[in-house]
Amino acid sequence: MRISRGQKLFALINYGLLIALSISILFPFWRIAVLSLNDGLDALRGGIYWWPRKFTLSNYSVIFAQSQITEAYKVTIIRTVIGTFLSVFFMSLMAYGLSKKHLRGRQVVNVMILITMFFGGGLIPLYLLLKDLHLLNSIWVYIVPSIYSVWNIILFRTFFQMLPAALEESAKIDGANDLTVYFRIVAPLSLPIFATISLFVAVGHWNDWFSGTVFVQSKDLIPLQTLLMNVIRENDSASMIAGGAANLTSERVRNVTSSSVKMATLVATILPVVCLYPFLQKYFVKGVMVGSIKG
Amino acid sequence: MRRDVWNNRYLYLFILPGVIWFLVFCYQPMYGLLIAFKDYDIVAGVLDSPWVGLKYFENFFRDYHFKNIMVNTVAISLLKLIIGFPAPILLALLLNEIRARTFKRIVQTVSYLPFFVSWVVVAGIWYELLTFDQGGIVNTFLMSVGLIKEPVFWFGNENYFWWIVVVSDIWKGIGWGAIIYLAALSGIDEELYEASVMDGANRWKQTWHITLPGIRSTIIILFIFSAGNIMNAGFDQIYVMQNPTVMGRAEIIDTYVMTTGIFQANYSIATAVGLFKSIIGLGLLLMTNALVKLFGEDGIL
Repeated sequence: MRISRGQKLFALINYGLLIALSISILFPFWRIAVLSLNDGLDALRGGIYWWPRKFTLSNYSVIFAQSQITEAYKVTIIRTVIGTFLSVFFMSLMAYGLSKKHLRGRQVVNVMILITMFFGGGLIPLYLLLKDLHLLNSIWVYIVPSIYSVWNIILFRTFFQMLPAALEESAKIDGANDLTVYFRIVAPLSLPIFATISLFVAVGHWNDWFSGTVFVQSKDLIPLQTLLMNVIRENDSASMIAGGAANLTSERVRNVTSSSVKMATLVATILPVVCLYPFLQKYFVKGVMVGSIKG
Repeated sequence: MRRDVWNNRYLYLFILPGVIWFLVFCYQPMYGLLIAFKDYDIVAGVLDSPWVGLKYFENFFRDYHFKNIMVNTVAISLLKLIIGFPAPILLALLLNEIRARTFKRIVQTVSYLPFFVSWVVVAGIWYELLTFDQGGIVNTFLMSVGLIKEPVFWFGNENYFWWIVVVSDIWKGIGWGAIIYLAALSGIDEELYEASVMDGANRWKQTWHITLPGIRSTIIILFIFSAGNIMNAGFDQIYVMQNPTVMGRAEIIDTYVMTTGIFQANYSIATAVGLFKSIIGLGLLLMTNALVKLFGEDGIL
């Protein structure tokens, strides 16, 4: 087939646009990393783009020298691990029950959870509820109110419905009950959907700054994202330098600035997600595909 | 009946914790909406607080900020809808034209990246991109190509705020948004293209007559959801990006609810404002859905 000049021109522009988009996304991330590894005072002179000019790790020594960020890491890791486990465990069970067409009353529950996708009480009634439940200022406020999500239940349910029924039926004939069928047969067959949704939920936990800002006051329960927000809004970067400086020799912290602390905190927050990124994007894309079949 | 329940006892047991959770964390707050019509007293509780009718709604409509908040919310949403909504469709169409598979995969992988970081991180990155200080990338770039003479204080001038919000929203979501369209595109029958070539159709005609109709139902469904989101405008993003100098353009309904309700503890008025928002949002969603059906398309309900 002949390729016309117009098509060649289009291909050229197309490649150009897509490369420009990729650079506009990658470069800002790269530059944050570069700045976090550069001497703070030196960076204020500008002109740093692709590579650190005065390489140093002191920005990181300062932020990790005080307990604030290590505490925040601990809180974030705990809530992510426990939260993801509980969420996936309970959501998959519910979805499995709802995937059984013969179950009486299943439509009532389906409708009941679908309604919540379109209408809810909003922030204040939820806040007052959490207050009444004594969940404010507790690590459980990060976990319990976000255990179930309608969208993820639908993803699980769709997946379970696509499993061949014959396997479960033959186990039932052999006298297995639903408990055994689910844990021995269905769950092991469904690892891909478990992986996908675990990642969805885990990233949600890792990235949540809102609950830490609204539902928690106590300093030692602040998660990483909330800490980062305080640092970026300059409430905390000065105190972090001061806090870190007390634990380090002045030689190393002399050139650390509030801007270089921000960059280092940003990188410390993103790094785990970036490391998991290859897995994330593979499973996420699969999840979206499963959803779009029946969404 | 009883035997049926007993036979399926484990299945009911699987569902039960979920039902309880939805009742407590979704339906109890709906009941809590009553305080929008009451003078909420924390000691008396929802039931025993005195009724005040629509007082708090009227207060909000008469509030000196009301017009401003509504304009900001709707304007940001509409800008996102007009500029942001077609962006992932365009990206999907462009990617669809790429024949080199490795290149396509790399661009896709890169474009998802911002989706996986929080709005706090994106705000941090954009503050740095747009900084007024020495070495701000955007200012340096625009000055070097001669578009501006001196650095612009992007985050300090409220005239730029809506645009920063719209562009950074596209930056964060375009790659992720394109996935679902790419999935729909891959479902289009190749034979349609082959047949159209026989009939002498060029690429533009193919895009217009085959590709776009092929993803029309996906576009419509996502459009209905976007229309239902007009009253939201993107709380996470705007809350982390706003600062006192741009408040005139950055206060939206949800940030107002947050400030009045959580920080100032005016529970009743904040609840009323939130309820007002959800009802209009639901109305818009149902209206768009009905409109779409009127034109003979499948809606979401």
